[in-house]
Amino acid sequence: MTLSPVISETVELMYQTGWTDGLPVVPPTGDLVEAMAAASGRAVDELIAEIPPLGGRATVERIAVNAVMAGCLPEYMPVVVTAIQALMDDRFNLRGVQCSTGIHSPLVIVNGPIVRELSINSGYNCFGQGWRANATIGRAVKLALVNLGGATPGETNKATFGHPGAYTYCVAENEDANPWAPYHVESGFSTEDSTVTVFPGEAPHNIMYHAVNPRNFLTVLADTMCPLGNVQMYVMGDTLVFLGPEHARMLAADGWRKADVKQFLFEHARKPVSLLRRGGPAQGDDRREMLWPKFVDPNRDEEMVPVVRRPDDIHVFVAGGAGGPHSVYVPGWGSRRAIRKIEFP
Amino acid sequence: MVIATSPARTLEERLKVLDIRSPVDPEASSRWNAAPRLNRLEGKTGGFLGNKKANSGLLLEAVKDLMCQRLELGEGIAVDKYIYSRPAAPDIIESLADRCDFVVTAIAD
Repeated sequence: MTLSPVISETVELMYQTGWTDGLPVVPPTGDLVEAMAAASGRAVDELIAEIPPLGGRATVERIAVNAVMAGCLPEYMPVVVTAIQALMDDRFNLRGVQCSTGIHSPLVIVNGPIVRELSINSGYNCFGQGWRANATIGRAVKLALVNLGGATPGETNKATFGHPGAYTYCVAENEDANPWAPYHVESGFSTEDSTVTVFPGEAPHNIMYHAVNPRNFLTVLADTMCPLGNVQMYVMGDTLVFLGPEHARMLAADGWRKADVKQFLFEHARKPVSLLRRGGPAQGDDRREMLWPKFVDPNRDEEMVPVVRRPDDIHVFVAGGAGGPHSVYVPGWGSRRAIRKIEFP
Repeated sequence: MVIATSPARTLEERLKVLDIRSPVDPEASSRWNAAPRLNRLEGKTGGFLGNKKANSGLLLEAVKDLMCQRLELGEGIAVDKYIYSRPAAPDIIESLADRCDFVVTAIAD
């Protein structure tokens, strides 16, 4: 007996449903779905969210179906459920993110002991391929957003381009390489907690810096954060930086605290009003004022406009593999990140 | 082994044979009902709801003018949402519902 006809027929059948993201999916048979849902520790009919724009009711069972299709192991289910809960935070503005002409897609960032338990990659190639937990958790979230939220490309999803992270976009913080407190502890959770942070992110933009001058490195990073084409220069919101282990170690060894890093970036990731005016009015409407901080006088050409309104709107994580002189910047969409503790009912 | 290949079977039947569960909410679309259609627009009041972006305003203004000229609308009321990336606020929706016979909306970035 050969399995090939069965496999190909089932794969093609799943394509015919219109439920896939363009890649083959695991057929969500009843037994697989039940095992996935059970791993959440919740009732299968528990309503987790109503996902915009369509408002599909994301019950535990329906989330489990999407998680099976994505290739998740059952133990990933609490992370997937928590990510969807976090995405419903009004400050994230999921409806807008799902429908925008912008390029953004939800990025899932995991912190805490569950990172090691589930082997979520925070090191080499952590934004890339090759890791089941990263690939399938991010994919499950995105499948649920499209299948339940109805954000079909070209229909209610008006993303002009989208980016590869729209297939799957999940990473963990490299807490072992972090010289400061882990991100979730900085955000008020305990080291024993595991959390999911979600952020409407563009694709990561690499920053190469081989020398060992912290101030110069941060100047290079700040310059990368404030190009005239970055939507955040016009609409602000939260923004994300992932320091590579080498850069984080260099900064900490020189006495920089994370708060110092954020303050430096806030003060140096700026462009003058005169240049930003070339980017045109916010959202094409010159009847509206820019969404810049109050301390910026929009009528003075030499005023410097920061990429966000406050230092704490710059969220700094540590991730990536050792030995590489690289960090990444992830521009946002103008709304806020959300963070939520993973509960195990 | 042939699993559900009969061309006579519908997609739903084949999924059922394989016990494949659905990742969608089948009732979600039916919760969004289109407003009742009007038979004629002459003398009616139309609302034109923009998303607060400049090109949306241009587009809807042109549509409003054309409809007023060609279809003899009674009145055209142009309103913008407060925030382009958010749904229209309840007070805007209620006001349009009170004052208008129909509403046209558009996005234009």
